[in-house]
Amino acid sequence: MKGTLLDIDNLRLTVETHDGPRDILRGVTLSVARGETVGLVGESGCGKSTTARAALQLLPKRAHTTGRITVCGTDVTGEDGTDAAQVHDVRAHRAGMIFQDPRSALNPVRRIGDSATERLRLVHGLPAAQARDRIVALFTEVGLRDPDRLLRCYPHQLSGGMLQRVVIAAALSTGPELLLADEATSALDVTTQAEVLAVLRRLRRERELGVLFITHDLLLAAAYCDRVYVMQDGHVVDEQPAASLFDDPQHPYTRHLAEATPRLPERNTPERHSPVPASTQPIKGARR
Amino acid sequence: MTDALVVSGLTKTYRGAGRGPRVVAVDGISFTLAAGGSLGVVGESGSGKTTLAQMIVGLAEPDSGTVVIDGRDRRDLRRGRRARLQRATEAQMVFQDPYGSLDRRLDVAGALADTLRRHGTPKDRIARDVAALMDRVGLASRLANSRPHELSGGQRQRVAIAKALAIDPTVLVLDEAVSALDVSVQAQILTLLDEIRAESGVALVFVSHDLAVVGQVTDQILVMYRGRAVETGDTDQVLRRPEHPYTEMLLSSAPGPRWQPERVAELRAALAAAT
Repeated sequence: MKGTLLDIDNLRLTVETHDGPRDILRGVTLSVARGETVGLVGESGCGKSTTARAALQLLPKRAHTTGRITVCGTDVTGEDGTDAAQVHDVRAHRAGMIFQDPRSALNPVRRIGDSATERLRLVHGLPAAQARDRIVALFTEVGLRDPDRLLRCYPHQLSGGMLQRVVIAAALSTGPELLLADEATSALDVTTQAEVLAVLRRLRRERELGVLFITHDLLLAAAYCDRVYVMQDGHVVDEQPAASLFDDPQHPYTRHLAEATPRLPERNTPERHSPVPASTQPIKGARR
Repeated sequence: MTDALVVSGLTKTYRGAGRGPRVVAVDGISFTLAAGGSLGVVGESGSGKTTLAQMIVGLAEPDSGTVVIDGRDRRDLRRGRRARLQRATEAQMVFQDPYGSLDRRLDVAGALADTLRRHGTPKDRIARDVAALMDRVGLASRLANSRPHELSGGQRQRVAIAKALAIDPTVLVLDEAVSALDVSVQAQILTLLDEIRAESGVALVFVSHDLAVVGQVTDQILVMYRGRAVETGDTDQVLRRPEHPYTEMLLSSAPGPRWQPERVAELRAALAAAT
Protein backbone atom coordinates (compact mmCIF):
# COMPACT_ATOMS: atom_id res chain seq x y z
CA MET A 1 0.00 0.00 0.00
CA LYS A 2 1.22 3.45 -0.91
CA GLY A 3 1.95 5.75 2.01
CA THR A 4 1.18 3.17 4.69
CA LEU A 5 3.15 4.02 7.84
CA LEU A 6 1.86 1.34 10.15
CA ASP A 7 0.71 -2.03 8.91
CA ILE A 8 -0.20 -4.70 11.42
CA ASP A 9 -1.26 -8.03 10.00
CA ASN A 10 -2.87 -10.78 12.08
CA LEU A 11 -0.91 -9.94 15.22
CA ARG A 12 -1.25 -12.46 18.01
CA LEU A 13 0.35 -12.01 21.39
CA THR A 14 0.57 -14.45 24.26
CA VAL A 15 2.01 -13.77 27.70
CA GLU A 16 3.33 -16.47 30.00
CA THR A 17 1.65 -16.24 33.40
CA HIS A 18 1.60 -18.39 36.53
CA ASP A 19 -1.55 -20.03 35.23
CA GLY A 20 -0.02 -20.81 31.84
CA PRO A 21 -0.08 -18.81 28.59
CA ARG A 22 -2.68 -16.06 28.26
CA ASP A 23 -3.83 -14.65 24.92
CA ILE A 24 -3.75 -10.83 24.92
CA LEU A 25 -4.08 -10.19 21.20
CA ARG A 26 -5.94 -12.68 19.05
CA GLY A 27 -5.39 -11.54 15.48
CA VAL A 28 -5.19 -7.75 15.19
CA THR A 29 -5.06 -6.29 11.69
CA LEU A 30 -4.92 -2.55 11.17
CA SER A 31 -3.16 0.15 9.18
CA VAL A 32 -2.39 3.86 9.37
CA ALA A 33 -1.60 5.87 6.23
CA ARG A 34 0.41 9.07 5.95
CA GLY A 35 -1.61 12.12 7.02
CA GLU A 36 -4.32 9.99 8.57
CA THR A 37 -5.59 9.96 12.16
CA VAL A 38 -6.80 6.49 13.03
CA GLY A 39 -8.66 5.78 16.27
CA LEU A 40 -8.29 2.62 18.29
CA VAL A 41 -11.04 2.37 20.89
CA GLY A 42 -12.23 -0.21 23.37
CA GLU A 43 -12.66 -0.77 27.10
CA SER A 44 -9.83 -1.41 29.55
CA GLY A 45 -8.02 -4.68 28.99
CA CYS A 46 -9.07 -5.05 25.34
CA GLY A 47 -5.47 -4.87 24.12
CA LYS A 48 -5.33 -1.40 22.53
CA SER A 49 -2.23 -0.25 24.44
CA THR A 50 -0.51 -3.58 23.89
CA THR A 51 -1.06 -3.19 20.16
CA ALA A 52 0.74 0.18 20.16
CA ARG A 53 3.56 -1.13 22.32
CA ALA A 54 3.99 -4.11 20.01
CA ALA A 55 4.40 -1.71 17.07
CA LEU A 56 7.51 -0.28 18.72
CA GLN A 57 8.54 -3.63 20.20
CA LEU A 58 8.15 -2.30 23.73
CA LEU A 59 6.97 -5.59 25.14
CA PRO A 60 7.93 -7.63 28.19
CA LYS A 61 10.23 -10.58 27.58
CA ARG A 62 7.47 -12.98 28.56
CA ALA A 63 5.42 -11.88 25.56
CA HIS A 64 5.42 -14.04 22.47
CA THR A 65 4.12 -12.59 19.22
CA THR A 66 3.22 -13.95 15.81
CA GLY A 67 2.09 -11.97 12.80
CA ARG A 68 3.66 -9.11 10.91
CA ILE A 69 4.18 -5.47 11.97
CA THR A 70 5.59 -3.02 9.46
CA VAL A 71 6.48 0.47 10.68
CA CYS A 72 7.45 2.98 7.97
CA GLY A 73 8.48 0.15 5.69
CA THR A 74 10.55 -1.76 8.25
CA ASP A 75 9.36 -5.13 9.50
CA VAL A 76 9.95 -4.80 13.24
CA THR A 77 9.00 -8.36 14.17
CA GLY A 78 12.31 -9.63 12.80
CA GLU A 79 10.61 -12.15 10.52
CA ASP A 80 12.56 -11.26 7.39
CA GLY A 81 15.92 -10.81 9.02
CA THR A 82 15.44 -7.36 10.62
CA ASP A 83 18.09 -6.81 13.24
CA ALA A 84 17.91 -4.87 16.48
CA ALA A 85 19.62 -1.86 14.87
CA GLN A 86 16.79 -1.43 12.40
CA VAL A 87 14.15 -1.60 15.15
CA HIS A 88 16.21 0.95 17.05
CA ASP A 89 16.28 3.17 13.97
CA VAL A 90 12.47 3.04 13.73
CA ARG A 91 12.10 4.05 17.37
CA ALA A 92 14.76 6.77 17.15
CA HIS A 93 13.79 8.41 13.86
CA ARG A 94 10.55 7.18 12.33
CA ALA A 95 7.97 6.76 15.08
CA GLY A 96 7.16 8.54 18.35
CA MET A 97 4.89 7.64 21.21
CA ILE A 98 2.96 9.78 23.69
CA PHE A 99 1.54 8.25 26.86
CA GLN A 100 -1.31 9.25 29.16
CA ASP A 101 0.73 10.59 32.04
CA PRO A 102 3.35 13.16 31.00
CA ARG A 103 4.76 13.17 34.53
CA SER A 104 5.89 9.57 34.16
CA ALA A 105 7.53 10.41 30.82
CA LEU A 106 9.67 13.17 32.31
CA ASN A 107 12.31 12.74 34.98
CA PRO A 108 11.06 14.76 38.01
CA VAL A 109 14.55 15.81 39.16
CA ARG A 110 15.80 17.01 35.78
CA ARG A 111 14.98 20.28 34.08
CA ILE A 112 12.45 20.27 31.23
CA GLY A 113 15.20 21.32 28.81
CA ASP A 114 17.34 18.28 29.64
CA SER A 115 14.51 15.80 29.19
CA ALA A 116 13.10 17.43 26.07
CA THR A 117 16.42 17.59 24.21
CA GLU A 118 17.64 14.17 25.34
CA ARG A 119 16.69 12.28 22.18
CA LEU A 120 18.21 14.95 19.95
CA ARG A 121 21.50 14.97 21.85
CA LEU A 122 21.93 11.26 22.58
CA VAL A 123 20.29 9.57 19.62
CA HIS A 124 20.88 12.13 16.90
CA GLY A 125 24.14 13.40 18.32
CA LEU A 126 23.16 17.06 17.98
CA PRO A 127 25.26 19.60 19.89
CA ALA A 128 23.43 20.93 22.96
CA ALA A 129 22.97 24.44 21.53
CA GLN A 130 21.39 23.16 18.31
CA ALA A 131 19.13 20.72 20.19
CA ARG A 132 18.07 23.60 22.38
CA ASP A 133 17.21 25.84 19.43
CA ARG A 134 15.17 23.12 17.82
CA ILE A 135 13.17 22.45 21.03
CA VAL A 136 12.57 26.17 21.57
CA ALA A 137 11.10 26.39 18.06
CA LEU A 138 8.91 23.34 18.74
CA PHE A 139 7.73 24.69 22.11
CA THR A 140 6.45 27.75 20.29
CA GLU A 141 4.77 25.53 17.70
CA VAL A 142 2.84 23.56 20.33
CA GLY A 143 1.67 26.81 21.91
CA LEU A 144 3.98 27.06 24.92
CA ARG A 145 4.82 30.64 25.86
CA ASP A 146 8.21 31.80 27.10
CA PRO A 147 10.10 28.65 25.99
CA ASP A 148 13.47 29.84 27.32
CA ARG A 149 12.13 30.04 30.85
CA LEU A 150 10.38 26.65 30.49
CA LEU A 151 13.65 24.91 29.66
CA ARG A 152 14.91 25.76 33.14
CA CYS A 153 11.72 24.59 34.93
CA TYR A 154 11.17 21.26 36.66
CA PRO A 155 8.14 19.11 35.76
CA HIS A 156 6.33 19.84 39.06
CA GLN A 157 6.27 23.55 38.20
CA LEU A 158 4.10 22.99 35.12
CA SER A 159 0.46 22.00 34.70
CA GLY A 160 -0.57 18.71 33.10
CA GLY A 161 -1.58 20.42 29.87
CA MET A 162 1.77 22.20 29.59
CA LEU A 163 3.70 19.00 30.32
CA GLN A 164 1.76 17.10 27.67
CA ARG A 165 2.71 19.84 25.18
CA VAL A 166 6.34 19.43 26.25
CA VAL A 167 6.10 15.68 25.65
CA ILE A 168 4.50 16.23 22.24
CA ALA A 169 7.27 18.67 21.29
CA ALA A 170 9.92 16.17 22.42
CA ALA A 171 8.25 13.36 20.46
CA LEU A 172 8.17 15.52 17.32
CA SER A 173 11.73 16.79 17.73
CA THR A 174 13.25 13.86 15.86
CA GLY A 175 10.91 14.34 12.91
CA PRO A 176 8.87 11.13 13.11
CA GLU A 177 6.41 10.15 10.40
CA LEU A 178 4.20 8.09 12.69
CA LEU A 179 2.87 9.11 16.09
CA LEU A 180 1.33 6.63 18.53
CA ALA A 181 -0.81 8.49 21.08
CA ASP A 182 -1.95 6.25 23.94
CA GLU A 183 -4.72 8.04 25.90
CA ALA A 184 -2.55 11.11 25.39
CA THR A 185 -5.19 13.59 26.59
CA SER A 186 -7.32 11.41 28.88
CA ALA A 187 -5.91 12.85 32.11
CA LEU A 188 -6.46 16.46 31.03
CA ASP A 189 -9.47 18.72 31.58
CA VAL A 190 -11.82 18.72 28.58
CA THR A 191 -10.86 22.30 27.85
CA THR A 192 -7.12 21.54 27.93
CA GLN A 193 -7.72 18.36 25.95
CA ALA A 194 -9.38 20.39 23.20
CA GLU A 195 -6.52 22.88 23.12
CA VAL A 196 -3.83 20.18 23.00
CA LEU A 197 -5.67 18.26 20.29
CA ALA A 198 -6.12 21.43 18.22
CA VAL A 199 -2.32 21.76 18.28
CA LEU A 200 -1.80 18.09 17.42
CA ARG A 201 -4.25 18.32 14.53
CA ARG A 202 -2.47 21.34 13.05
CA LEU A 203 0.93 19.64 13.36
CA ARG A 204 -0.44 16.47 11.81
CA ARG A 205 -1.61 18.47 8.78
CA GLU A 206 1.59 20.47 8.43
CA ARG A 207 3.87 17.46 8.73
CA GLU A 208 1.61 14.89 7.13
CA LEU A 209 1.94 12.66 10.17
CA GLY A 210 0.17 9.36 10.54
CA VAL A 211 -1.42 9.13 13.99
CA LEU A 212 -2.69 6.05 15.80
CA PHE A 213 -4.98 7.61 18.40
CA ILE A 214 -5.79 5.25 21.26
CA THR A 215 -8.67 6.26 23.52
CA HIS A 216 -11.46 4.82 25.64
CA ASP A 217 -13.61 7.82 24.69
CA LEU A 218 -15.82 6.90 21.74
CA LEU A 219 -17.11 10.45 21.32
CA LEU A 220 -13.57 11.79 21.15
CA ALA A 221 -12.54 9.17 18.58
CA ALA A 222 -15.60 9.97 16.48
CA ALA A 223 -14.92 13.72 16.63
CA TYR A 224 -11.15 13.67 16.16
CA CYS A 225 -10.24 10.75 13.91
CA ASP A 226 -10.73 9.95 10.25
CA ARG A 227 -11.27 6.24 10.73
CA VAL A 228 -11.79 4.14 13.86
CA TYR A 229 -11.06 0.55 14.82
CA VAL A 230 -13.03 -0.96 17.71
CA MET A 231 -11.28 -3.59 19.83
CA GLN A 232 -12.81 -6.12 22.17
CA ASP A 233 -11.02 -8.85 24.03
CA GLY A 234 -7.91 -8.90 21.81
CA HIS A 235 -9.81 -8.71 18.53
CA VAL A 236 -10.49 -5.82 16.17
CA VAL A 237 -14.25 -6.30 15.89
CA ASP A 238 -15.15 -3.26 13.82
CA GLU A 239 -13.71 -0.67 11.46
CA GLN A 240 -15.66 2.46 10.63
CA PRO A 241 -15.28 5.92 9.16
CA ALA A 242 -15.35 8.14 12.27
CA ALA A 243 -18.45 9.96 11.05
CA SER A 244 -20.62 6.84 11.10
CA LEU A 245 -19.42 5.48 14.46
CA PHE A 246 -22.45 6.80 16.32
CA ASP A 247 -24.90 7.30 13.48
CA ASP A 248 -24.55 3.89 11.92
CA PRO A 249 -22.62 1.43 14.14
CA GLN A 250 -22.22 -1.90 12.35
CA HIS A 251 -20.98 -4.33 14.97
CA PRO A 252 -23.18 -5.12 18.01
CA TYR A 253 -20.28 -4.23 20.35
CA THR A 254 -19.80 -0.82 18.71
CA ARG A 255 -23.53 -0.23 19.09
CA HIS A 256 -23.33 -1.27 22.75
CA LEU A 257 -20.47 1.17 23.41
CA ALA A 258 -22.23 3.97 21.53
CA GLU A 259 -25.41 3.46 23.54
CA ALA A 260 -23.56 3.35 26.86
CA THR A 261 -21.75 6.63 26.14
CA PRO A 262 -23.56 9.58 27.72
CA ARG A 263 -24.08 12.41 25.24
CA LEU A 264 -24.78 16.07 25.70
CA PRO A 265 -28.14 17.36 24.49
CA GLU A 266 -28.07 19.25 21.19
CA ARG A 267 -27.27 22.91 21.70
CA ASN A 268 -30.00 25.50 21.33
CA THR A 269 -32.78 22.93 21.05
CA PRO A 270 -35.94 22.89 23.18
CA GLU A 271 -35.57 21.41 26.67
CA ARG A 272 -36.62 17.84 27.27
CA HIS A 273 -38.98 19.06 29.98
CA SER A 274 -39.95 22.66 30.30
CA PRO A 275 -38.56 24.19 33.50
CA VAL A 276 -41.51 26.58 33.68
CA PRO A 277 -44.97 25.01 34.05
CA ALA A 278 -46.76 25.28 30.72
CA SER A 279 -49.70 27.21 32.18
CA THR A 280 -47.50 30.10 33.30
CA GLN A 281 -45.74 30.53 29.98
CA PRO A 282 -46.83 33.50 27.94
CA ILE A 283 -48.97 32.53 25.00
CA LYS A 284 -47.52 33.53 21.68
CA GLY A 285 -49.32 36.39 20.06
CA ALA A 286 -51.29 37.17 23.20
CA ARG A 287 -51.80 40.83 23.94
CA ARG A 288 -49.72 42.15 26.81
CA MET B 1 -40.91 20.22 54.27
CA THR B 2 -37.32 21.14 55.13
CA ASP B 3 -34.77 20.94 52.38
CA ALA B 4 -32.36 18.02 52.60
CA LEU B 5 -29.32 20.24 52.11
CA VAL B 6 -28.95 23.99 52.47
CA VAL B 7 -25.54 25.48 51.71
CA SER B 8 -25.07 29.21 52.26
CA GLY B 9 -22.14 31.48 51.68
CA LEU B 10 -19.60 28.65 51.85
CA THR B 11 -16.04 29.95 51.59
CA LYS B 12 -12.67 28.27 51.97
CA THR B 13 -9.16 29.60 51.43
CA TYR B 14 -5.87 27.74 51.52
CA ARG B 15 -2.47 29.10 52.34
CA GLY B 16 -0.63 29.98 49.15
CA ALA B 17 2.87 28.87 48.24
CA GLY B 18 5.62 30.61 50.20
CA ARG B 19 4.59 34.10 51.23
CA GLY B 20 2.05 34.35 48.46
CA PRO B 21 -1.53 35.44 49.07
CA ARG B 22 -4.11 32.93 50.30
CA VAL B 23 -5.73 30.91 47.54
CA VAL B 24 -9.52 31.15 47.45
CA ALA B 25 -10.73 27.59 46.71
CA VAL B 26 -14.44 28.15 47.26
CA ASP B 27 -15.91 31.63 47.25
CA GLY B 28 -19.40 32.17 48.64
CA ILE B 29 -21.31 29.16 47.27
CA SER B 30 -25.01 28.89 48.16
CA PHE B 31 -27.68 26.43 47.04
CA THR B 32 -30.50 24.29 48.35
CA LEU B 33 -31.31 20.71 47.45
CA ALA B 34 -34.61 18.96 48.21
CA ALA B 35 -34.90 15.35 49.35
CA GLY B 36 -34.66 13.13 46.27
CA GLY B 37 -33.09 15.97 44.27
CA SER B 38 -29.77 15.83 42.45
CA LEU B 39 -27.25 18.54 41.82
CA GLY B 40 -24.32 18.34 39.43
CA VAL B 41 -21.21 20.35 40.28
CA VAL B 42 -18.99 20.89 37.24
CA GLY B 43 -15.84 22.82 36.42
CA GLU B 44 -12.21 22.32 35.47
CA SER B 45 -9.64 20.96 37.90
CA GLY B 46 -8.85 23.63 40.44
CA SER B 47 -12.30 25.19 40.19
CA GLY B 48 -13.05 24.22 43.79
CA LYS B 49 -15.61 21.48 43.21
CA THR B 50 -13.86 18.85 45.33
CA THR B 51 -13.28 21.33 48.18
CA LEU B 52 -17.01 22.12 48.09
CA ALA B 53 -17.82 18.40 48.27
CA GLN B 54 -15.44 17.93 51.19
CA MET B 55 -17.03 20.78 53.13
CA ILE B 56 -20.51 19.32 52.63
CA VAL B 57 -19.54 15.98 54.18
CA GLY B 58 -17.24 17.51 56.79
CA LEU B 59 -13.82 16.53 55.44
CA ALA B 60 -12.84 20.19 55.16
CA GLU B 61 -13.80 23.03 57.44
CA PRO B 62 -15.24 26.16 55.85
CA ASP B 63 -13.74 29.56 56.73
CA SER B 64 -17.26 30.94 56.67
CA GLY B 65 -20.73 29.90 55.60
CA THR B 66 -22.95 27.06 56.73
CA VAL B 67 -24.00 23.58 55.64
CA VAL B 68 -27.40 22.57 57.01
CA ILE B 69 -28.64 19.02 56.47
CA ASP B 70 -32.17 18.04 57.53
CA GLY B 71 -32.37 21.29 59.46
CA ARG B 72 -29.21 20.59 61.48
CA ASP B 73 -26.12 22.77 61.19
CA ARG B 74 -23.04 20.66 60.42
CA ARG B 75 -20.90 22.97 62.56
CA ASP B 76 -22.70 21.77 65.67
CA LEU B 77 -19.84 19.50 66.65
CA ARG B 78 -21.19 17.77 69.74
CA ARG B 79 -18.73 15.20 70.92
CA GLY B 80 -19.28 11.53 71.51
CA ARG B 81 -20.08 8.43 69.56
CA ARG B 82 -23.74 9.12 69.19
CA ALA B 83 -23.30 12.61 67.71
CA ARG B 84 -20.61 11.31 65.37
CA LEU B 85 -22.81 8.50 64.06
CA GLN B 86 -25.66 10.98 63.69
CA ARG B 87 -23.45 13.19 61.52
CA ALA B 88 -22.48 10.18 59.43
CA THR B 89 -26.13 9.43 58.64
CA GLU B 90 -26.56 12.98 57.40
CA ALA B 91 -23.98 12.84 54.62
CA GLN B 92 -21.93 10.09 52.98
CA MET B 93 -19.34 10.33 50.26
CA VAL B 94 -18.24 8.08 47.40
CA PHE B 95 -14.82 8.77 45.87
CA GLN B 96 -13.31 8.22 42.43
CA ASP B 97 -11.06 5.43 43.67
CA PRO B 98 -13.05 3.04 45.84
CA TYR B 99 -9.79 1.27 46.74
CA GLY B 100 -8.98 4.06 49.16
CA SER B 101 -12.32 3.86 50.99
CA LEU B 102 -12.47 0.08 51.44
CA ASP B 103 -10.57 -1.88 54.06
CA ARG B 104 -8.57 -4.35 52.02
CA ARG B 105 -8.73 -6.95 54.80
CA LEU B 106 -12.52 -7.07 54.86
CA ASP B 107 -14.59 -8.97 52.33
CA VAL B 108 -17.78 -7.44 50.90
CA ALA B 109 -20.10 -8.92 53.52
CA GLY B 110 -17.65 -8.03 56.29
CA ALA B 111 -17.37 -4.40 55.22
CA LEU B 112 -21.13 -3.95 55.01
CA ALA B 113 -21.74 -5.79 58.30
CA ASP B 114 -19.16 -3.59 60.00
CA THR B 115 -20.94 -0.41 58.93
CA LEU B 116 -24.36 -1.78 59.93
CA ARG B 117 -23.10 -2.92 63.33
CA ARG B 118 -21.59 0.48 64.11
CA HIS B 119 -24.90 2.10 63.38
CA GLY B 120 -26.80 -0.18 65.73
CA THR B 121 -28.37 -2.81 63.50
CA PRO B 122 -29.29 -5.76 65.79
CA LYS B 123 -27.06 -8.82 65.32
CA ASP B 124 -29.82 -11.09 64.07
CA ARG B 125 -30.72 -8.66 61.29
CA ILE B 126 -27.23 -8.00 59.93
CA ALA B 127 -26.97 -10.99 57.59
CA ARG B 128 -30.35 -10.18 56.09
CA ASP B 129 -29.53 -6.49 55.67
CA VAL B 130 -26.17 -7.28 54.05
CA ALA B 131 -27.88 -9.52 51.51
CA ALA B 132 -30.49 -6.84 50.84
CA LEU B 133 -27.85 -4.14 50.33
CA MET B 134 -25.85 -6.31 47.94
CA ASP B 135 -28.99 -7.04 46.00
CA ARG B 136 -29.89 -3.35 45.89
CA VAL B 137 -26.59 -2.31 44.30
CA GLY B 138 -26.52 -5.30 41.96
CA LEU B 139 -23.72 -7.32 43.55
CA ALA B 140 -24.10 -11.09 43.08
CA SER B 141 -24.32 -12.97 46.39
CA ARG B 142 -21.36 -15.15 45.38
CA LEU B 143 -19.16 -12.04 45.82
CA ALA B 144 -20.00 -11.80 49.54
CA ASN B 145 -16.65 -13.29 50.52
CA SER B 146 -14.48 -11.44 47.98
CA ARG B 147 -11.96 -8.89 49.14
CA PRO B 148 -11.49 -5.56 47.31
CA HIS B 149 -8.51 -6.74 45.24
CA GLU B 150 -10.56 -9.62 43.87
CA LEU B 151 -13.24 -7.30 42.53
CA SER B 152 -13.40 -5.27 39.31
CA GLY B 153 -13.47 -1.46 39.43
CA GLY B 154 -17.22 -1.39 38.87
CA GLN B 155 -17.85 -3.99 41.58
CA ARG B 156 -15.69 -2.06 44.04
CA GLN B 157 -17.64 1.12 43.32
CA ARG B 158 -20.87 -0.79 43.98
CA VAL B 159 -19.49 -1.88 47.37
CA ALA B 160 -18.56 1.73 48.18
CA ILE B 161 -22.10 2.85 47.24
CA ALA B 162 -23.64 -0.01 49.27
CA LYS B 163 -21.57 1.00 52.30
CA ALA B 164 -22.72 4.60 51.97
CA LEU B 165 -26.35 3.52 51.61
CA ALA B 166 -26.17 1.09 54.55
CA ILE B 167 -26.88 3.90 56.97
CA ASP B 168 -29.58 5.54 54.87
CA PRO B 169 -27.94 8.97 54.49
CA THR B 170 -29.88 12.15 53.75
CA VAL B 171 -27.24 13.37 51.29
CA LEU B 172 -24.90 11.28 49.14
CA VAL B 173 -21.93 13.16 47.69
CA LEU B 174 -20.20 11.49 44.74
CA ASP B 175 -16.83 12.94 43.75
CA GLU B 176 -15.90 11.77 40.23
CA ALA B 177 -17.42 8.45 41.26
CA VAL B 178 -17.79 7.04 37.74
CA SER B 179 -14.84 8.77 36.03
CA ALA B 180 -12.47 5.81 36.23
CA LEU B 181 -14.97 3.26 34.95
CA ASP B 182 -15.44 1.88 31.44
CA VAL B 183 -18.51 3.28 29.69
CA SER B 184 -20.63 0.15 29.95
CA VAL B 185 -19.92 -0.16 33.69
CA GLN B 186 -20.40 3.59 34.08
CA ALA B 187 -23.82 3.32 32.43
CA GLN B 188 -24.83 0.59 34.91
CA ILE B 189 -23.73 2.64 37.92
CA LEU B 190 -25.58 5.73 36.63
CA THR B 191 -28.75 3.68 36.23
CA LEU B 192 -28.24 2.32 39.75
CA LEU B 193 -27.93 5.86 41.16
CA ASP B 194 -31.18 6.88 39.46
CA GLU B 195 -32.98 3.87 40.96
CA ILE B 196 -31.59 4.50 44.43
CA ARG B 197 -32.60 8.14 44.33
CA ALA B 198 -36.15 7.25 43.26
CA GLU B 199 -36.49 4.53 45.91
CA SER B 200 -34.87 6.11 48.94
CA GLY B 201 -35.27 9.82 48.38
CA VAL B 202 -31.58 10.43 49.06
CA ALA B 203 -30.33 13.77 47.74
CA LEU B 204 -27.35 13.45 45.37
CA VAL B 205 -24.50 15.91 44.94
CA PHE B 206 -22.68 14.70 41.85
CA VAL B 207 -19.26 16.25 41.32
CA SER B 208 -17.80 15.58 37.88
CA HIS B 209 -15.77 17.08 35.09
CA ASP B 210 -17.93 15.15 32.61
CA LEU B 211 -20.84 17.31 31.46
CA ALA B 212 -22.57 14.50 29.57
CA VAL B 213 -22.64 12.30 32.68
CA VAL B 214 -23.94 15.18 34.78
CA GLY B 215 -26.58 15.76 32.12
CA GLN B 216 -27.74 12.21 32.54
CA VAL B 217 -28.06 11.96 36.34
CA THR B 218 -28.85 15.42 37.66
CA ASP B 219 -31.78 17.87 37.59
CA GLN B 220 -29.89 20.93 38.78
CA ILE B 221 -26.42 22.10 37.88
CA LEU B 222 -23.85 24.43 39.42
CA VAL B 223 -20.95 25.52 37.23
CA MET B 224 -17.85 26.49 39.19
CA TYR B 225 -15.03 28.71 37.95
CA ARG B 226 -12.26 29.87 40.26
CA GLY B 227 -14.28 28.98 43.35
CA ARG B 228 -17.42 30.82 42.29
CA ALA B 229 -20.74 29.61 40.96
CA VAL B 230 -20.86 31.30 37.56
CA GLU B 231 -24.05 29.60 36.42
CA THR B 232 -26.78 27.58 38.13
CA GLY B 233 -30.09 26.23 36.99
CA ASP B 234 -31.96 23.35 35.44
CA THR B 235 -29.31 20.95 34.10
CA ASP B 236 -30.95 20.30 30.75
CA GLN B 237 -31.60 23.98 30.16
CA VAL B 238 -28.05 25.05 31.05
CA LEU B 239 -26.54 22.37 28.80
CA ARG B 240 -28.74 23.43 25.89
CA ARG B 241 -28.53 27.18 26.41
CA PRO B 242 -25.49 28.14 28.46
CA GLU B 243 -25.43 31.80 29.44
CA HIS B 244 -22.01 32.29 31.02
CA PRO B 245 -18.97 32.32 28.70
CA TYR B 246 -17.26 29.78 30.97
CA THR B 247 -20.10 27.27 30.61
CA GLU B 248 -20.01 27.94 26.88
CA MET B 249 -16.30 27.10 26.83
CA LEU B 250 -16.77 23.88 28.83
CA LEU B 251 -19.55 22.74 26.50
CA SER B 252 -17.59 23.59 23.37
CA SER B 253 -14.66 21.55 24.70
CA ALA B 254 -16.66 18.34 25.05
CA PRO B 255 -16.10 16.15 21.98
CA GLY B 256 -19.19 15.55 19.91
CA PRO B 257 -20.66 16.24 16.48
CA ARG B 258 -19.21 19.38 14.82
CA TRP B 259 -16.50 19.59 17.49
CA GLN B 260 -13.97 22.34 16.81
CA PRO B 261 -11.15 22.13 19.33
CA GLU B 262 -9.58 25.20 17.71
CA ARG B 263 -12.47 27.31 19.04
CA VAL B 264 -11.69 26.56 22.68
CA ALA B 265 -8.53 28.67 22.74
CA GLU B 266 -10.54 31.61 21.33
CA LEU B 267 -13.27 31.12 23.94
CA ARG B 268 -10.68 31.00 26.71
CA ALA B 269 -9.17 34.26 25.50
CA ALA B 270 -12.65 35.82 25.38
CA LEU B 271 -13.32 34.58 28.92
CA ALA B 272 -10.04 36.00 30.21
CA ALA B 273 -10.92 39.35 28.65
CA ALA B 274 -14.39 39.30 30.22
CA THR B 275 -13.33 38.43 33.78
